[in-house]
Amino acid sequence: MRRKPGAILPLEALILATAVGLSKAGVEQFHGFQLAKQLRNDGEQQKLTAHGTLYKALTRMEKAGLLESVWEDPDTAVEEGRPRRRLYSITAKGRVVLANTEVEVGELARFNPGLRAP
Amino acid sequence: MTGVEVTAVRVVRWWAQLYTRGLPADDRERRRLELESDLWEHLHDPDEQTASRSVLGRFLRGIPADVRWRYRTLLESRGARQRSHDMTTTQRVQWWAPTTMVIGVTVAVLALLGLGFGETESGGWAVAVGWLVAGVVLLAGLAVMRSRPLVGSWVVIAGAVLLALAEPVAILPTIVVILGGFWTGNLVISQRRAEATIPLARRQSFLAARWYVWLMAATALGAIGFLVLMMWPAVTPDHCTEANPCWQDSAAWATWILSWMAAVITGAVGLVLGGLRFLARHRTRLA
Repeated sequence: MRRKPGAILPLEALILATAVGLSKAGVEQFHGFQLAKQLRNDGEQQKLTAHGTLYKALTRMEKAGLLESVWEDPDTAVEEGRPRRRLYSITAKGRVVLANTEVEVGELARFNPGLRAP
Repeated sequence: MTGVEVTAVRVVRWWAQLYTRGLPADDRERRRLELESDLWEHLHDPDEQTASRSVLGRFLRGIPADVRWRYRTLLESRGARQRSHDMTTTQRVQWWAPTTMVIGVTVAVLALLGLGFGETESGGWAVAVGWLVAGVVLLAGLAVMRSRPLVGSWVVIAGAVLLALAEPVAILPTIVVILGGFWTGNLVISQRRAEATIPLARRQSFLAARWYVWLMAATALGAIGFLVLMMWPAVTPDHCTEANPCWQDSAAWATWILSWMAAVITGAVGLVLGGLRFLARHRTRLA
């Protein structure tokens, strides 16, 4: 199924909303597993998001300019004895897209109370 | 880590190695390293009680997305216009075109032999014509793919389906052609490819595949044909033994001989094509 240009998928809206939530909690950067866990803990998903689904969405969102990412400092990873993390953060464009999505969902929710903003 | 966790990690790593093969180094390494990090975090998270089961669940549920991501990455990296030719000349995936061509030639030769030997009883004529049409369509599709990738892809698929319809035993080559074509990206249909009309350089033709690829494709197909033959219960009825070879059961022996011929001809076709390719390469070097 092809989507309309500029439209985002429900999972992408959830990721943006979670990124904003983490940002408000003082966590500006997050890694993949942290995001999957947060999505589950927030009750947005029953299980941890599948590897393929999660990293495909993150890559796509980064290419769309909704997220940006960097590899963490290798010294940090070595000190903690674990693999390096890819750290993601939401961009200004991502915040705008999320806000627009919330407005759209809010308008739809007026006609369908079952819907809620991401 | 427990034994189950180690197994789960190995499975995920194996799958990541598989679906990232042939992708650009940046994309491949990034995905593998991100998965390594994810696995480590998952297995070392104190809140995760059944991590190994959860890891395997995430791996299984993510397979469709992994496959789609692979294709999208391939398309983006190669570019739709050049993809078909680039991929057939890339060593890692160049087996598909030779394999399909060997199948097409073998099927057509077998059909002609069948017609030539008067294989006209009990629907044999219709089967032989079906094989001939399927072989010709397969080869025509390959030829068309050189200049019109989209049209050629559909013609190849049609040829493979015709082959399966003409002879259900040939379902395995059909699967090889269609799934192999999708896996290597040769049969990935995209609208952009419809616009592609590519003047081929000589070295970009399908014969650019190395000679040993033809040989390997033919040998593998011969082996597959032989395995199908051995596994096909109708060919060798249980009551037939060396002492009682069932010569009176002509249908069984006709199928047996035809299957051997299929295996031998497949190998021979591969040898001839491989030899021609080898000679062409040698002559090019001498020149």
